[in-house]
Parts: sequence; C-alpha cells; structure tokens
Amino acid sequence: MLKNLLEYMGVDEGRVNFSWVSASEGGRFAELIGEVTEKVKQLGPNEGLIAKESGCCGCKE
Amino acid sequence: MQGIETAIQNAAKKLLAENKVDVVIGFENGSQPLRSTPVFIRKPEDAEKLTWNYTCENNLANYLRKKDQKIGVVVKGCDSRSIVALMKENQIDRDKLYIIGVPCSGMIDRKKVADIVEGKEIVEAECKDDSLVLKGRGFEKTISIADVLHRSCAACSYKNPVIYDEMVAEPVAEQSEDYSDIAEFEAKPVAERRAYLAKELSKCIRCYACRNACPMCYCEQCFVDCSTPEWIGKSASDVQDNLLFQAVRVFHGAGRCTDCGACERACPMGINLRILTRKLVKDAKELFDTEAGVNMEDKPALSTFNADDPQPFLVKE
Amino acid sequence: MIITKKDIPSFLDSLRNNYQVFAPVKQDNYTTFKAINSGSDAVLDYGNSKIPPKGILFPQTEELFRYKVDEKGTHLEETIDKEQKVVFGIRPCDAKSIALLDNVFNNNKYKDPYYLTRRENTVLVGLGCNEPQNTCFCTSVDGGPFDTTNLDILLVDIGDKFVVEVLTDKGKDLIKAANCSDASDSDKEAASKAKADANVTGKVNIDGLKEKLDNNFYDEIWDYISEKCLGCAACTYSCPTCHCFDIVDEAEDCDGCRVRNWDSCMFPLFTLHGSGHNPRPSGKERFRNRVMHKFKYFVDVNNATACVGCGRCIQNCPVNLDIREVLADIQGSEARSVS
Repeated sequence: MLKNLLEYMGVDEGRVNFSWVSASEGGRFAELIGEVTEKVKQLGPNEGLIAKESGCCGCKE
Repeated sequence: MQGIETAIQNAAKKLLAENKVDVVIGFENGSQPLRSTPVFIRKPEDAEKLTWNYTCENNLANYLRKKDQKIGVVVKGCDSRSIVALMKENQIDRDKLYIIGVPCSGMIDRKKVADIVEGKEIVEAECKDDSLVLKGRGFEKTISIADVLHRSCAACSYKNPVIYDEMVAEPVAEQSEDYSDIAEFEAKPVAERRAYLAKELSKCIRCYACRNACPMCYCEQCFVDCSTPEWIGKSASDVQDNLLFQAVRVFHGAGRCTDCGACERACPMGINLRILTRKLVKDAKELFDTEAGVNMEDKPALSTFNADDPQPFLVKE
Repeated sequence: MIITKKDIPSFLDSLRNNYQVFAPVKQDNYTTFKAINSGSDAVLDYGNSKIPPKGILFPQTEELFRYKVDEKGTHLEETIDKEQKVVFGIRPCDAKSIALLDNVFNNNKYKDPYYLTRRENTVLVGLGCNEPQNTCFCTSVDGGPFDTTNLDILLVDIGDKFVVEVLTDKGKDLIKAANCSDASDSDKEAASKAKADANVTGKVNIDGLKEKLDNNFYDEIWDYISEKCLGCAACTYSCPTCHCFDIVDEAEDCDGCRVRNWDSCMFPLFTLHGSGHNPRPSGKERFRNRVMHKFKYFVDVNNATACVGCGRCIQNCPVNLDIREVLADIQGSEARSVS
C-alpha cells in the first residue's frame, strides 16, 4: 500500500522497491541493490515528493 | 428530522435518569447558521438541548477513547464504523458505551454552500423538506440539500450504523461504493497529479485540525512533534513537507480509515484531503478485500498476515 | 477625497512600482491576503480574510539568520526584510491587532528588529466595514467597524467609490499616486451614513471579566467549558493577536539557518519541559491558558485585551467552539450573547 500511495502522490514508478531479503542472503542483497541503483539512475533526478529540498525558508535554494 | 431529534432526546433523558450512563455526547445547535456543535449532556433535564439535522457533521467517536465513564453517544453510520475500528484497537470499552444509532442521509458541506452564494455571509438558513432556504443581506436562495452534501456523504455506502444499542429511526437505503474519483485521479499523468497535490497543500497552515479531528489519530506523540530525529520540518511554507505530512498521516490510517471525512471537514483552508485518504481505502478493498470498522469479526487489514496476501509490490526477480 | 472603484486596479498597479502590494484575493470560496501581481487581482468586496494579514509583518516562517562554518570561523548573515510594503484593504480589527502585537515586539525589554523593520516600512490602507458579519464583536473589545487605530488611510465604501480619509503622513505620501478627486458634500454624507448604519450585532460582555479570571483558576467550569475542543491550532493560527513562536535551527553539517515558526499553545508540546513534565498536560489546562492569556494576562501586563473581535476563531473552529459563549459562561450569564 505504501508503494501505491507514494506513486499516486507523484513518485516515479520504479523508485520505490521492496524485496524480502534475509540477513544471510548477503550476495543476493548486493545484487539487488546494484539492480535497483541502475534502475533508479536511469530514471534520472527525482521530481516527485521531496524533490527539491527548498528548506522551510528558502535558504537552501 | 424532527422525529429523530425527539427520539434522541428521549433516549438520552432515559439513560441519564436511570443512571445507565454518566454523560450523553450528541449535538446541539451551533452559534451560526448551518452549524451544530458537540454537546456533553449530564443531566436528564438538559437532554432537550440535543438536536439532529443536516449540520451534525462532526465524528463524535473522537471523544470516546480511553474514557473511564459510562458514555452514551449519538452516531451516524460513519461514526459507528470508527467506534468498531477503535474497539478493535482497545481504545474503547464496549461495556461502558451505549450507542444511539441514527440512520443518516448525509450532512451539508458549508464550503459548497459558500461556493453557491459566492462567499457572501448567510444570516439565516432554514430547512424545508429536501431544500435549504438561505437568506443573506439582499439575497435569498433556495437550494436542494442533495446538491450540497459533503462528498463523503454523497458517496457513502454505510449510512446506517453498523453497531448500536438502539436505533432511533428506520434504516435508510444503502448504495454501493464508488471509487471512480480515485480511479480518475490515478489515471492522470504524474505531472498533473503532482501539480494538483502541490497546489492543494500550498494552502496548508499546519494547524493539524485534520489530525485532531480524526478518531483514529491518537498517538501520544505525533511524528510531527518529534525533533530527534526531525522527521519533517515545522514550517507550513515548505509544500513538500506539507505533502509528506499528509502522506505519513494518511498512511498511518491505512486499513483503519473509514472515510468518515472528518479530516476534510475540519480543515479551515478547504484542502481536498480525501483524494489521499480514499486512495488507501480503495487499496485496502482491492488488495485485501477489507473495509475498516464494518463489523466486529473482521481482523484489521494491516495487523493480519495471510500466506496468500497479494504482493504485487515486490521487485520482480 | 474620493477614489472610484474603477480606478483602484490602476492605483494598485502604480503602487507596485515602489512597494510590494498585499491585498485580499480570492482563493476557492474565501479570501486571503497575498502579494498581488496585478491590480485587478484585488477583491475589496469581502467580509474578512480566512487568516489575518499579521503574517505580512510576522510571517508564519521567518529566517532570522543563516550561518556557515569553515576554516576561517563562523559567518553569520542576518536576513531582515526591508522591502517597502502596502497592505491594501485591511479591516480595522486587523489594523488594531497590530497595535496589540506592538506590545509584544516593541517594548522596554525587547525590540524585535524583524517585526519592527517590516512595520516601519509598511503602509496600512484600511477598509471600513459597512456590513459587519454576525461573528464580529469588535465593539465589545474597544474597537469598531470604522476604527482608525494604526491605519494610515481609511477607505469608506459609498457604492461605486470610496471616501478616502488620510490619517498620517505615510498615508498622504501614498495617496499622491492615486487619481483622487474632491469629496462632495453628498459623498461625505454618504460616508457618515455608512458609518452610522454599520451594525455590529455580536456582543460579549467583558466588564468584570478580568476580575472573574483573577479568581477562577481552580473553578470546575474549566473541566467542562472546552470539552469539545480538539486541540488543533485553527483558532490560534486564525487569530490576529496570537503571537507565540518557536525557534529552530535547520542545519546540514555546519551550514544552516535559524528559523522562527508560529507555534500554538493548544499543542501539547508547547509547554513540555526537558524533564518530561508538562504543566499543561491536557486540553483543559491549555484552553484555560488561552482564555486567560487573552483576557487576563495580557491585560495585566499591557492594559489591553488581546482580542479584536474579528470572529475568525468562531468561523474556523471545526467544532464551533464559540469564544462569545465561553465568555458568557464565565461571566455567569445564562443568556448567550450571540445574535
């Protein structure tokens, strides 16, 4: 439901990823992270929720 | 309406006179046209203050959590679902509660009325069968009540209380649920959804009326008040933070929200909050075939695990 | 002097050359003060704004300074808003609230440079209320629909034009840019009539209220009077005289800014001590504090009631908790003073 809500609110599809990984599945974990990182890099910069950290008073703009 | 009002007053009078409850929570006339206000009746003779009409919009389940006293409460369909949901979370003791159920035909949305009269002040409002006669300085307008009901009331599929100790009127006809408003929003392109939500949440002043009006929001320390770590900033000028506040608030209600609309009604700035809350209500129905608070037997959706729960969100291997 | 309603948009556009002009604009079905990009955006046919224009002098979020730390040391950059501003169409109650805010931000103990700089650089053009709303009760708290406290100019609506009453030198300078003509005798009569006809029906009786509040801190009335209150900040953020704030540092590593945000005494965290103790643990104590602050503590310190009778708290409260009814109950009257 969280993925649905975030994508509904404007986070690009493909940025929110879930997988069951146990603590003993180190190799698989590394592989998964690599895949997700590649996928997200290809999507480019995020323009959805919390895209710009404008800060509350604009000082970070 | 009049019949219902008298029935509520009589029920309250009897409960208090017989000492079955310490207090009856209901509605009395508000201090402005088209408003009523919650009232706490403790003496039988005060029961005549109780009223019932198209303006009894608050969710009184909000006042029932963790109370020691015996309480009588007047509820609509949506409120009764909140009570069931709260009972499942151990926030309400069924034995200390006497529920006066009222089949509800919907409550008026003052914002819709304000739209129709272009923001002009209404000095007097009178209900005549299915119409509302509005009088202001230099104008009088009759409108159909059905046109100005809250959107949550127009879409409501649980108008009759699902739990009660007594019902003060005959049940009204139910309609089936309709999530086409959410489906329509889902179908819009991402950029349009972002723009709409940003525009709505730019009106937010972070008064947290939405959070406080919600019967299901009762954390002793809300995440917005936490400073170590500071999950979100305090400023209302940061629209992204306003959006994040709603995202988290709404997600905390996932599987628990009954779409009573109290959040949207409480918002002084008129933000369309139900476009977010209803998304999760729809998902709970589609993914887990559950609706919060419709009966005592169903287990809460997000506190239950079944081996065959759908998992469409997992990364495809 | 007279200015026609038709001439207002061009007047506002000419002001925009030298000032940041704030005026009431329509948002959904209500009005709110915003900096306008065009004179025609201003809406002067309105009751009162949803939230007061105090945010123009005392913003909801304000950067106090920003800082950087590097090998050379700490560098602070204070950010004080010095822009010239005009608030056009402010109601007398909101203008009066600024006088009350002055007690807080400009006194012997402290002069707030952020608020004061804005205040000195702002011209207030008021719009009198020909038709006060049923939630207004300014006349009960030392105000009125054509009160001139703090205004530089007062506009009186007489149909298709305004009678312009210039009250200060700042006002005199401002109005030079307008296409004004002389007011005729009938114009002046129409203005007097508008003032006489303006009827504030809402009333509260504050005679002896402070004395009652001096003595009823432990009275059981406080157990019941705010039972329906949700504890949100709708009333405090809608109130033109509310001024409480919280200061936070927003930082990333060694760089950041110090920010002041509005805060509300209705929130539980407002008085939470570092030890975990909270002297106002429930809604009862917090609501009692709100009423006492406005009608007793502020009077004790500043000899003025911190309420201008604008009625926004009544309109914006999700449960219709009406301050007029609360005060009537405290005063002990059975008959509630609502119209």
